[in-house]
Amino acid sequence: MKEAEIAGLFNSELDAFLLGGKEPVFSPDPGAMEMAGELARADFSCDSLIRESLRGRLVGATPRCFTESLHALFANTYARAALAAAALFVAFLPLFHRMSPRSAEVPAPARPALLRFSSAQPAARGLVPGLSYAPRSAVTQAGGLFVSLPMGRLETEPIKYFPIVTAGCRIPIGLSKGREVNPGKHSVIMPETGGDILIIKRRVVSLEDIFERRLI
Amino acid sequence: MDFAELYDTCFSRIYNYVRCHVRLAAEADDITGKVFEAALRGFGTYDEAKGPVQGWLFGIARNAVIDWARGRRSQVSLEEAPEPAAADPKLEAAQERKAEQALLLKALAALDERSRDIIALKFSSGMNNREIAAMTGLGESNVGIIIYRAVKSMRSEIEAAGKL
Repeated sequence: MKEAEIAGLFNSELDAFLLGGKEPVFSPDPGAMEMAGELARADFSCDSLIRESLRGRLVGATPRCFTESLHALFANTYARAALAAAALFVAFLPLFHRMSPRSAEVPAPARPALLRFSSAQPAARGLVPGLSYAPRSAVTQAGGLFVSLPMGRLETEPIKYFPIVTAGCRIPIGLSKGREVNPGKHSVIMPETGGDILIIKRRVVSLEDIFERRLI
Repeated sequence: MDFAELYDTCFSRIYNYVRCHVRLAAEADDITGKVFEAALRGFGTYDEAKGPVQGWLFGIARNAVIDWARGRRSQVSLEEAPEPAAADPKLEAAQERKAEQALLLKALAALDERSRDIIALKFSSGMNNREIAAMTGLGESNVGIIIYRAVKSMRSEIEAAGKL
């Protein structure tokens, strides 16, 4: 038998042994097959000192795919609890939102919202040159639409004449006496009715009429 | 297969392949580390269509060993440096295993580089002769003959040592 034939037979038996663990019986050269068996069983990797440390260094640096990251995240009990709490919070957030502004709202009694100087039609903003309207931010800083003024302070202010105007075109413009006080950043006119008719109308306003509500 | 799975599956085989070329465990660790570092860098670009991942990994290992062998020629050889003592010297079985491994490594070291490489690929990578032939650029029947001759040569070497 030629060497090539022996080698072919040897390799086919060796492959069967390596693939299926079939005990090699190679009659032409039993010693060679025994040697091959020794080589196949040899495992030098127990001598390695870096197996675990290298794995930790390399696998820890591997970018994981999304599902694997989620799986790893949920493997941690604390992270699982925190995620569950966060999910519950997000789920109930709309409910909290719906409840909390209502409960936080000041139960609004009928507040005097607008002063009207005529019974005919409501006063239009900006038509009274002497009246300055506080910006919304100033109103909120002051704590409400109207600010209480100590009577003593009010009486120290001089009485002036202010134009009175109402909405609509045919209502005559008149003057009204009043005291202009400056409680904060804006001025307030406290009218004295005198001979003019001053109607204070009250109506219920909601916070939405005054403030813009934004959801975060 | 993700990289962690590849590492767990192939670490021992890659280490064994490297160790067949490198007798010192520390050097084998060093080269194996470089192999897996290179594999991690290229893992994102690995294309399954070009062949099994084990073949790709052993290609990296083969290049790393070739680079190591080139560098070694210009350095003082440590081949004959004694291996550190076994961590469990009291265990007779462990010592016996170490002695057998040392004999195998010595017999492997006695082979020429090409035969050693083919033997290392045959018994470490799980590749068949055709795949080894494709990797090494040899003919399949030639690979078979080299394996047979190398195994016989190792057997003779170990018998000469009177240990096996």
